[in-house]
Amino acid sequence: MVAIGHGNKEALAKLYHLVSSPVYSFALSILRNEEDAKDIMQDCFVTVYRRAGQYQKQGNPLAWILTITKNLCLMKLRARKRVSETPLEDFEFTLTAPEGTASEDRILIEGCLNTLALQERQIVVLHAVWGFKHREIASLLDLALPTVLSKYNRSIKKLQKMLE
Amino acid sequence: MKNNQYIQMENRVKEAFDAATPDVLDAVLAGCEKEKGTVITMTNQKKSSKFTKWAVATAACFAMVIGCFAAYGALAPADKIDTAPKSPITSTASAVATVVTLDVNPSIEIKADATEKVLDVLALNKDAEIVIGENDFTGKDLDQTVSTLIDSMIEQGYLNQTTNSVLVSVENENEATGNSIKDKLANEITDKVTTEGINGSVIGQVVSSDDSGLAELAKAHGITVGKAKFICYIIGNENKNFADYIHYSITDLNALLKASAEENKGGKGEEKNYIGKDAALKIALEACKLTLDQLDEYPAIEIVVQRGEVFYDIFFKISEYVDEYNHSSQSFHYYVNAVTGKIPGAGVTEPNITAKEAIAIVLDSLGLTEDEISELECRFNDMESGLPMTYVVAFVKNGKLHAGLVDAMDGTHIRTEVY
Repeated sequence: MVAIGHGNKEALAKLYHLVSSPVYSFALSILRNEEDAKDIMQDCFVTVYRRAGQYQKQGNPLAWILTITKNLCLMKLRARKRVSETPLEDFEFTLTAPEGTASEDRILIEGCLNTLALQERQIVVLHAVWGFKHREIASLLDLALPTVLSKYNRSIKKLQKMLE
Repeated sequence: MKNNQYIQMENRVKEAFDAATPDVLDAVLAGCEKEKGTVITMTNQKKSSKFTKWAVATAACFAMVIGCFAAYGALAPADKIDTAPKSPITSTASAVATVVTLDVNPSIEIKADATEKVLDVLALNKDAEIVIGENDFTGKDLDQTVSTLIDSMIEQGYLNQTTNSVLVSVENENEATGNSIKDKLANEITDKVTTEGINGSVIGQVVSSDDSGLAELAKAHGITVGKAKFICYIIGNENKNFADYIHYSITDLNALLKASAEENKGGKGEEKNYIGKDAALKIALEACKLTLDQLDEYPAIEIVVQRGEVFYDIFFKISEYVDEYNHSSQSFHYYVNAVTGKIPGAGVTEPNITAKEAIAIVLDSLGLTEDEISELECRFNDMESGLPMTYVVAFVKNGKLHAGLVDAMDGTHIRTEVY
């Protein structure tokens, strides 16, 4: 983060390779739109690049990146709300990109985004893709730990059932 | 122990998302390049950090009250709201339905019509002029305008980790509408500052044009009605002087509000975030190797804020009496951080540059020589006060008082203000 703060793009590229998938998956879990999630991923890393110099170490830097991602998503949702009143959950998500993604992966992601509720999706992504512990997720999402655990268990079972 | 099936499923989810993640690294790097090439808009003035504002405050204080060391939390003249009529950046014939003021240190007034389209944006002080710059907000959405202004405040260094509070005051004839706009803007700003990695604090309030007393109070002190209301809220029913608070930034007022709540908090010591007055006094006494019974009287301890941090301001005196002709006294003044218990600057007392060098730095920056100025004075502020080490160089040129500030460690010319 220090190197990025000094404008080192190689360091940014390294960070990108480490966390692009977590950022994208979290944005996708909230927005359920690949293009929007892609935009958020791009904006997120540009923001990290711009703001790394001001980043003050406060625990896990992933939490900072997650906060940036989350807020960019919320802004996107607000902007979307201004132009369309269609509730987010009212349409079926279909994964279109990228090419070469295995069909099983597509099914899993589509299932994750269509079968699970918003909080469930976030919890699964934060635990499985970001690697956050359940108690960290509870803190990040402002939920009680038992709530996170039960939602997580329920979500995994739903996904297992879907793949059977 | 985690179920194997769970682990398998987690791995599959991770692998699926990894595979589905598009590669936008080139676009990210291009975006960063674009950012790098973006000239920060508005002005070529140096970023105005809270530090520089403090420095100017110290300069002003020094120039006016030479020798008075208790300039903690003092007024930055640039904070003063210019109540003289301004030329609106834009002007239309539409009726003003909502007036929003944003206070950080820059104070900005935004007038909008009933559809929340911006009519006018007014800079209420010099810093606000920098923030607004050449932007034309006419016809833009109110929330987008606020968002752009907050962006600019961040870019210009007015909003950062240490100056992190924004006061949003909304005036609308309809209280419910006012509240709704207030909530919306407060959310917008919160999102914005959090996204920029700032642990910000946004205070929203609705103000009423019916409250002529508040408007008069604000006008008399050259501050916004919103800030006046916020100060009144902080003072509450306590018998305190309103004028003592007008020079605080919103961040400091916010810290003061929290400090007041903290001091009133009951419960055990460990439940409080602050160390408490007794502990702070103990730290101060240890710093000067004295005990309480050596002091003339129980010390004066007050809570003060500076750059958003809360300190216990402790002052005490000891007198040594030998006989009726021989006695001496010594006074001590400490700032103890209310959270960490540290005395800022303890152990650092030597500047890297001399007063002469500091004078030369200030004069060089203005293209002046000592022959062209009068009443030159230079004072070194050590860190005993808990503030950064600086030289304050004050002089008169063409009948106007100039106060320049130089970082005593690296010789940086921070700022020179003309009064």
